[in-house]
Amino acid sequence: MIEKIEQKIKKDFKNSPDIVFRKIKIRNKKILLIYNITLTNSNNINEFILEKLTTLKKRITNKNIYNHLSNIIPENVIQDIKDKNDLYTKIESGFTIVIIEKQKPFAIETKENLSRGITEPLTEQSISGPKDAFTENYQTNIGLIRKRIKTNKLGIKEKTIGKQSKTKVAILYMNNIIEPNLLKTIEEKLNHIDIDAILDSTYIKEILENNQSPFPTIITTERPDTASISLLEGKICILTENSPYGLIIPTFFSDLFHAVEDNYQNSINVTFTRIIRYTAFLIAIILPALHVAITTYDHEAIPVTLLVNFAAQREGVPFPLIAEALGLTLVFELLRESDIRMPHLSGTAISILGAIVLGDAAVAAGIVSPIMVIVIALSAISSLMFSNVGMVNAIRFWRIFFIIFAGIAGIIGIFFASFLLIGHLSSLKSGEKPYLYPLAPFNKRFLKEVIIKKNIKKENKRMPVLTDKNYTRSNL
Amino acid sequence: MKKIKILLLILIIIPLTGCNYMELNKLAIVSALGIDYKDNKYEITAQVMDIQKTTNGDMSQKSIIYEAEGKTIGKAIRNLSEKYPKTIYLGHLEIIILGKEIAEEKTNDTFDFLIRSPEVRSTGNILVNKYQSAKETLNPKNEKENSFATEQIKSSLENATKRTGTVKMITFEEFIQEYLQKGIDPVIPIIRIGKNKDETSNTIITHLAPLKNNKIEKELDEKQSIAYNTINNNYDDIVITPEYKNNTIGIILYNPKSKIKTKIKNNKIITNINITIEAKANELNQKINPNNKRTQKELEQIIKKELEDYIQSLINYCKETDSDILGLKNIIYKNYYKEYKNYKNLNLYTESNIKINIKTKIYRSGSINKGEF
Amino acid sequence: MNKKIKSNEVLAIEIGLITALFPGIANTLILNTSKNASLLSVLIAILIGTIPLFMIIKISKNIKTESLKEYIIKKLGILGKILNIILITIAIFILFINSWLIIDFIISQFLTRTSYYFIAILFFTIIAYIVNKGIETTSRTVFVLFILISIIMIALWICLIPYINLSNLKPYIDVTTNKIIKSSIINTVYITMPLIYILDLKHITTDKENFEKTIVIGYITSYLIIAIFLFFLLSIYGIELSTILTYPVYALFKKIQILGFIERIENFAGIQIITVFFVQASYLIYYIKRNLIKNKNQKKLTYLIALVIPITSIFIFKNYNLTIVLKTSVYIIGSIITIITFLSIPQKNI
Repeated sequence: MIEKIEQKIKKDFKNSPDIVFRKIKIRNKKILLIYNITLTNSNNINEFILEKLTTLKKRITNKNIYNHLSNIIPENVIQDIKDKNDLYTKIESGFTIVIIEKQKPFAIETKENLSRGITEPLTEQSISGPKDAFTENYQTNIGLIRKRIKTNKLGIKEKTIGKQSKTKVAILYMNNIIEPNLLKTIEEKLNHIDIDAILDSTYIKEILENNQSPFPTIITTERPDTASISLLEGKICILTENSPYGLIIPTFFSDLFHAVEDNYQNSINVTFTRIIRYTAFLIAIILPALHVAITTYDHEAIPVTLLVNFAAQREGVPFPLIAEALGLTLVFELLRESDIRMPHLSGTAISILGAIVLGDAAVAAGIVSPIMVIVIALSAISSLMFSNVGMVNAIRFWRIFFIIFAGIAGIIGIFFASFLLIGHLSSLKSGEKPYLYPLAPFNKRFLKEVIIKKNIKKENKRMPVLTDKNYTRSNL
Repeated sequence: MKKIKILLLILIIIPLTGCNYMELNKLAIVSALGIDYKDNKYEITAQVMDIQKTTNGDMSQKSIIYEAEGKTIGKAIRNLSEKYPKTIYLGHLEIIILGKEIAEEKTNDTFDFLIRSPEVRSTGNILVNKYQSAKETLNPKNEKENSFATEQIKSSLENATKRTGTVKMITFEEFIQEYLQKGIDPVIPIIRIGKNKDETSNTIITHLAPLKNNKIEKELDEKQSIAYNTINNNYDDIVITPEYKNNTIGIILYNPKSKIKTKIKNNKIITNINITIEAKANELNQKINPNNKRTQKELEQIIKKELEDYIQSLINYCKETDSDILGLKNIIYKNYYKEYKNYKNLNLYTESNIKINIKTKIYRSGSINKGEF
Repeated sequence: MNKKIKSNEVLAIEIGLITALFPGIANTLILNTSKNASLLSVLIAILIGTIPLFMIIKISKNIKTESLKEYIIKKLGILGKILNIILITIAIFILFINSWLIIDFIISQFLTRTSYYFIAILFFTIIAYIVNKGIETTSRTVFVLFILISIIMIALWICLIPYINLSNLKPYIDVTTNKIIKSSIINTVYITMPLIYILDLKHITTDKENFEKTIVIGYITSYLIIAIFLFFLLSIYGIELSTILTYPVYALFKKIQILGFIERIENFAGIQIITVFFVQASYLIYYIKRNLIKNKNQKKLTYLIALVIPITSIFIFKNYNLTIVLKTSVYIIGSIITIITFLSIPQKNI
């Protein structure tokens, strides 16, 4: 009987070399252990299964060895096997199948920890504050959040998505704060996913984001403290197995202007930095278009000395102004992309080369005018101020859009393009909540809080769009 | 399919850049415009800023003179493009100079083009040269490239307005606004070419002159200009030089606050010119103590008499030339609208009873408190 | 419907709708009719205007959960259908004249050599795109734009204060009383006309009990804005220059000079005029689209309405001289007042 099971399983797995079949004989009973050697920890198998099995002397003849073992083996999970598919799933998930002759087979979890340890965050670095980041291990991630929010109101719902990958996806929320409709909507959307494999949390992000927009409506973060702060505001956090990035839904536009430093610094300094960030957003999008519009259509808008200065710099440059602007933007994006791909060691030489090529040499060769280099560089530096990569890419897209409109109709083109931008932003929804929250459905108190950070003693209410149960955070 | 349509639309729009697309280096930025009238044609002299970038990257700034003529001003400006390579751009016009012939007979005809055209910026300053043509003013040595310094003229106009009180800096739009009002003759500052001691010429801004009946009248002299500017509160502080005890002293007048009030009683017009002004000793070349109460009173009397002289001289000018510079008829139009038509054709300077009330106070004496020299 | 907009956004739409006609024709008509007494005529207009305002509030209190079209049909039956068609025609007419005026403003002041049709297509495609996304998006866009331009407007007013010359306002009354009353009536017609279109928003507002208060606040604010602009025009430029300039409100911003170097901002100040027109055009296109046909979700119809109206208006205005239509537009728009009176008479039968 056991030999037949063994042959069948070997044939189904196509004689894969990493499935191990161990036959043991204890007290004249044949026991078959099946496990996947790449996914299981052999120490676990040795210590807990074989040792425990050999200590049983008489009981091994008992029919309910399953119940007995589950009384003895303290830590690991023992589960029942339902059918053949379940057997295969369990082998693939790192369980060890124990088949004892003439008894019910069962499975014990003996998983190997195959991920890196907890390290510093790679993309969202901060000067002060905690420095641990999510890893690829599912349990570690949930643990990092649990140890910050030590209450039983932190609810977790788990789903398995992906036909071939069967990835575990966890939805974390605070029971006493969140709006139940939001949770239901997101659960339904996740239930309807029908896909081959979920390899990273960004797959889920793209499925949940149903807007066609370059602006991100779901934030990915690799810091557990950011995730905890969002959970306490009434948002939902989604963690995926094998992914060090957690998703936060719903996101508002003002959250993109929020950096990790803001939570851990003096509130007056943070207010000032936030105002600089809002200005940087405007500069990054509008400045090149403004320059194009002023020098080609509306020459009246600047004083004479500046106009004469610009005219002098345009002497001898062969390309029309829009071509210069778009060309320089393209070159800057090439620099940025190549900088990311270049391995660390040879990175510095390439960026120095790029800067020298673009800066002095192009101007001296008469291909571009110096003022255009300054304008594009200023706009690009302002756009790199944001920590969310999606935001930087969205700014790049809209900057080109504005330049094209300014090239068509001057300052009027900039007005039209800004109508379009505001209209586009107002139509976005994140998790069924309006994207421009404190501004568009107007809420005066939170509009002020988004710009001016309050002292922690005074920040005592939650946003009413996210929660209707638990407004007051504290009674300080 | 929808994406293809949008992409096609964008691709069609991009080459259709609006027909206003004008590269900067193809513009001829006009900074000063001179208008003359000869043989039934308007002659335009335009001073254009030209920047050349030399090979080592330095920029040298010159001004080039363009000239053209035509039957109307607008046509003359278009004719400029026949001769010169760049497009004329009037959006940064700083100075408009009207020449001698226009001052004599055709001043009103120059206004329509300059205020109707949306490309001309109407906040440039307007000046009139009553003695020479505008072409000579902009280009006294008749060279192709010269340095009629527009910025310097503008700043010396501003300084003179604030410090000497003999001119008034006025933009074209404000001038038109005064021109359209009923019962006031607007004034324009006069500019002309004078000769230095060493026979080189330079441009001087002298005094004001009113515009009446399509021509510019006689120029006001220094005293009348100071009176005009005092009544209209146009300066910050000026120096006048009255006589005191057979010595000329210098007094600074500042903070003028003046108002003209008109009343009609029993068909008679009574005008009160009320001036409140503060004074400060500038130069006292005698041994007096300005902090002494009696000296102060005497000095104040001297100042009052001096200013009254100036204003009386202005009133005499207005009587002679029948021009209403101070705007007395305008004040009657504003306050007594229904009776305005009775007084429309009268010269109010002869008809009405003008009373001048000056209040002045001298109380600052500078760094030294006694005159010892 | 589960579309919800708040009363702040209704306020922004209302103010934009009312002030949109002023930079184009209303200012010129009022200044030409009642020269220096325009300020007095505005004051009288506020008083005269309270009558249609009260009628509108009374109608608004009777509307509970239906749209304007359904309410009119419910109240007046067959006559109501005719009234609906009249309202749509007047909305098309307003859009017709105002789109010509704004495109003329843009072309004559900003882009003097561009083709009229090009700018019209560009502008109205953007408006139609935003209207297609739904009334919530449109109202939120309008609200954000409104906050931006009110900051700009107040900053510009503060910068214009040094140029005021109060003696330019005299003589206070230089026309006959007939003309003052005529200009007050013109003022009232232009301001109270859009209020009836706002009633269509009541059934999708979340806080309905504030709706009447919103209408009154919008009414007073629009009057304030118009009165302040007229005051600045008359006291800085005087009546003669204001009547010969074609867009005096735009020329007013040329005078601003701060700190010696911020001096040529009238190009940027032009966004105020373009934004109020955007608000009016987007709301009227939404209204026309909803009430014209039964099937309400046609996206292509929006593009059709938004492009046909300005193109025909440019074509007609360029080829025929229609200044007489501009001058008598007051009477056409004024017929709305009679509609308002009709609606507010309480029904005889229960």
